[in-house]
Amino acid sequence: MKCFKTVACMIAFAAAAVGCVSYHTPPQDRRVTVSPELGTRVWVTDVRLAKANSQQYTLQANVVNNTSGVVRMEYRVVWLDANGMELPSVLSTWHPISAVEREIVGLAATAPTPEAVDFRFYLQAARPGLLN
Amino acid sequence: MNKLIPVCAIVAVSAVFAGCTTPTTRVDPMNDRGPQVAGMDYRDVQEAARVMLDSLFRSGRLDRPDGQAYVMTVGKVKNDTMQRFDTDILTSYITEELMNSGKIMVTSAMAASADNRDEMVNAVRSVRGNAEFNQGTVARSGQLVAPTHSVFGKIIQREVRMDNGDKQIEYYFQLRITELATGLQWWQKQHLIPKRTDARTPTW
Repeated sequence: MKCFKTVACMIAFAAAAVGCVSYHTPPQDRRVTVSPELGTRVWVTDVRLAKANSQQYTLQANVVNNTSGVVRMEYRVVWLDANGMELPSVLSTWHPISAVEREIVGLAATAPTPEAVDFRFYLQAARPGLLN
Repeated sequence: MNKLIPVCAIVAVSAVFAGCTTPTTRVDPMNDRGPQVAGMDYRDVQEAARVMLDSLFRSGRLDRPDGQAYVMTVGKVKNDTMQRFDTDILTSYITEELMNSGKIMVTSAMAASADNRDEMVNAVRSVRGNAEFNQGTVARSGQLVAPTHSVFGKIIQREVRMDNGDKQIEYYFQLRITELATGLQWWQKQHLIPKRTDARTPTW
């Protein structure tokens, strides 16, 4: 009976702990890389890839500022063909953005060619002096 | 001994000044940690090109129903800034990406600037009837392809004095594409890059 109580307590504790952890885990997407210096200050959510008016894919994502201050960032999108090979393009250069407290900033980027079918999205803190 | 002292002094002063200079380094354009500049630098041009191309690709205007590529010529891109800047730096990014997309071919036979025209197109035609050339290899008449579209635009610099005496510099990048058969404007995009700096900072 004593053993049963101990096991029951452990299960209850584990369930509570798992519930707490999973609730605060940011969304994970293997195509998205957020640099460590941003930590959990921002999340990248609702990552979508679709063809709208064009034959070329457009990536859309939301960057969520979890803080009560302004976060200045840069993002870049690297486009890949069906074989996973990178398609070099000026469209893959860093682009500055900022998000005020609790803001959700919508981003969009269009592929340079119809051959681009996949992507890697990178987000980092803005380099010094880039944004005021 | 007295002669040695001035020589040592010169060497010491030279060493101090040499230490003050910034050593020359290469810059990785994808990860440039250098400070921002009041003038227009390659980062601004790349950003403008990126925004322009993103807009053009997303618009779907390049998707020809028959799958063929449009033929484009480079019109005049006016530099209306206070800086010496060759606008081909911008248009080169644009035309390169458009050609890589497979949806546009750029003609070198016709362009607003001589730099964007290849003189060899006419030179090869000037040898028609020249016995020194195998006439079977000379371009025949009626082979040049006329452009269907033209890209043109302007880069504008505007300076505004802030209330605190600082200077705000606004760079407007404008590009337009015209359908040459109809003269109708087919696409356009303006991108603004604003900067703030000390009033005394020159931009040229």
